[in-house]
Amino acid sequence: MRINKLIINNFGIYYGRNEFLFGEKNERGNIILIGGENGAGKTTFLSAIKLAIYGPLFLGYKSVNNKYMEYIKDKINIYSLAEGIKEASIEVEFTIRNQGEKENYKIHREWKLNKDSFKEYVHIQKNDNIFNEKETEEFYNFLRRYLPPSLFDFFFFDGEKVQQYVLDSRFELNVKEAFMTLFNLDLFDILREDLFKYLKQENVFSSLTDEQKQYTQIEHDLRNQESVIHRLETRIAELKEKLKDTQVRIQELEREFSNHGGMIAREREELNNKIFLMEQEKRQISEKIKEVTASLLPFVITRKIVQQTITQLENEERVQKYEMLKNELGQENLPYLVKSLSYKFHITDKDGNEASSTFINEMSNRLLNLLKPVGIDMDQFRIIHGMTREQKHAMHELFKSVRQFSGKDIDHYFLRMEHLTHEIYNAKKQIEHSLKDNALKEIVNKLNEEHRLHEQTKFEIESNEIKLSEAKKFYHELVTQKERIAKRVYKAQKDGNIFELCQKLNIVLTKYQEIQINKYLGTVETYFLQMFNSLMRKGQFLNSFKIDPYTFQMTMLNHTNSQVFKHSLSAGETQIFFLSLLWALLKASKQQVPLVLDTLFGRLDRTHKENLIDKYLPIAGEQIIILSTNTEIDEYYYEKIKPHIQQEFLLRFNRETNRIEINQNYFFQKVRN
Amino acid sequence: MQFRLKTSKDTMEILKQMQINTNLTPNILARLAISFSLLLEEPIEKFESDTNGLEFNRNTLTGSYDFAYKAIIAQQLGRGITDEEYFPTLLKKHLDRGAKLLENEYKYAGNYEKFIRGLANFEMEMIR
Repeated sequence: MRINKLIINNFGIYYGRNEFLFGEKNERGNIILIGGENGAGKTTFLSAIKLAIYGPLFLGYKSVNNKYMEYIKDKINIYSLAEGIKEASIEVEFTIRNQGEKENYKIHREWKLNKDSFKEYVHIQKNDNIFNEKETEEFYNFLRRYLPPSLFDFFFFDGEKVQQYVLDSRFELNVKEAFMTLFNLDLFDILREDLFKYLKQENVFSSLTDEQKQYTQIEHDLRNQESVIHRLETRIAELKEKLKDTQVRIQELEREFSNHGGMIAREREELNNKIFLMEQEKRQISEKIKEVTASLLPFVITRKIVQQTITQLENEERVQKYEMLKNELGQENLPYLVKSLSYKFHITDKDGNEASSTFINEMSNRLLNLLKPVGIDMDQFRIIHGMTREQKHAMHELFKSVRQFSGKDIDHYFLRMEHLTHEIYNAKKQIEHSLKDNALKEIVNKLNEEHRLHEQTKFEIESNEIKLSEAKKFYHELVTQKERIAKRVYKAQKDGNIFELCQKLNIVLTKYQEIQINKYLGTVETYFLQMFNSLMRKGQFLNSFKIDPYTFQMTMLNHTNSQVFKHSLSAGETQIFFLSLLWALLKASKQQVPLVLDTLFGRLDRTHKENLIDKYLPIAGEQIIILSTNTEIDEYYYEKIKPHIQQEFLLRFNRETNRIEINQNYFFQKVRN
Repeated sequence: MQFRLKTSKDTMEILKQMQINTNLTPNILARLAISFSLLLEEPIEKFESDTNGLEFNRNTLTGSYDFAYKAIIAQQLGRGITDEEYFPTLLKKHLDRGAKLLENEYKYAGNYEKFIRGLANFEMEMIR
């Protein structure tokens, strides 16, 4: 594609009608040099080209919708709106070589305000033939195939962002996508899709056997599953990056925090832990106090009565024993005893008179007196409790506890509580104090936020990984199912049936695609090496450059055959690397995509700049658009580039008229006579 | 055998207020109140009170110490008592009589800690 002409009318910073004529390709060169200070409209110039060509596709929409119109509305030049002019337009003319034929296109997009909403009017013509609606539709389809916006973007080189772009985890995928489009290899994917669609068509589908239907369905499911897995893997990779970022930020914040005299999280953690343990001990002590209050204290208060109860119980026991003995001795036993001894002894009183019965009375009285419980007034004594042995035992135990109880223990508990309360207060103060000044609070808030994010991301990764492993499991199940059915299908196979043809075709296509990828990659690798080595200084050349046909991972070996990693390249070297890759892709595919170079010289030293000007720019493509400020391509380099310039412009924003002035000469060009 | 006991209205209010102050449950407070009443010389049998207050379950009120409460009540009375006399009659009388004493004790102490430490180091002559 070659851009020949661009007209911008009331769009963005361009007030009124602004025309850029690039002219037909001439002998002079292939470079369109656009100079301008920052804010002079270089970026708008590029957007205008893209918008004119792609319309809604530029934003990824298939047709005009509200979002697209919102975007356009924002882009209408404010000064023209202020003047009451309610329309804007962009027109682009370009040439495409389609199957060897040159085709000249002109696309005119116009936006007009009707009542209060803008409407878009598009005219497309090819070699003077104005397209009707159907042809316009077809043209868009063609454009989507031939030069999708993503490819256009791929060949837009921004020196400021190139390193970030190359190191991004999606870089290889982007290269692969561009490669497949450039070499028309995505056609095979489309073909395979079409085969599927064909097989799924009602009339074809119904002529298939059940097994074949199943097979087709599984193939379809497999495709879906593949894209699900791919999406999940990408998402997980993104999340892991995010996780790394938050971890780094957390570490930084922690450092900042401790530098500010705050306590680092570990110390806070320890203090909080200590507080927790002390609170726990306080709770335990408080429970203990309650427990003693409930069980023992009522009897501590009534200690005297408990003591009396115990005494009473003992007395009751003694009295009961005495009563028992008294009963045992009784009226009969003693006289009987004395009588039974009378054959041996004579019982007489002092005067020698027989005194058996007196003796018995006297004896039993004395004996009972001897046995009588001491200190108990037997006439007054009353049994109060009459407890069982178990109850007595329990009562004694209770009394023992009361006796052993010391109020000092409770005092100690309370003192310990007081001490703990004090300690907890101190620890909390310590934490609080470390958060006193606002800077620290700020950091802590950030930290908390980061921690929250961290946890959330971790959780998201976990849930996505679960999904992924399920998706993979399901995928493998489908694969084994497919193989099983395949066997059955081929057994029942009749020659020449549609299904088998499609399957065979599918295999052939895949095979062919692989072969083609390998073949073209070889060419790309060769061209890359050529260009890269010619641009680098001596002693930095590469011995080999390989691109993996599946992952598009790139492996570089230097002159000592040790591996060079892309993240070890300097910013300037990364630019050279990417420019060489762009060139290799363009050259090998023989496609013509305009190469746009923004901030080309930003990171390059003199040698690299001169190499680029001498060896790269002249052959980099049929049309190269370079956007530059006057500091970047200064007078010296301008003189060097000059022989290759096809057309040059200088954009300047005039603050008086609010218009962009387009000068046909770059900064240092003397006006030609 | 009786298992329920209803305190007087006054007692209920005292116990509720004291629960707020000390965080001790009414049954624990009731036990302490009974103990305080037991320290008074005046015969308990003449004491009368209404039954418009809290209802206690015997098990909650005296728990595993039921026999011991019965023993000290009988001991203080100086005679044997039947189970019906002990619960609810005498226990209720002591509880209602002691509640006011307990309240005074708390007011004198002024806070939970002093109150409990006072009880733990309780001596007879402290009864006011």
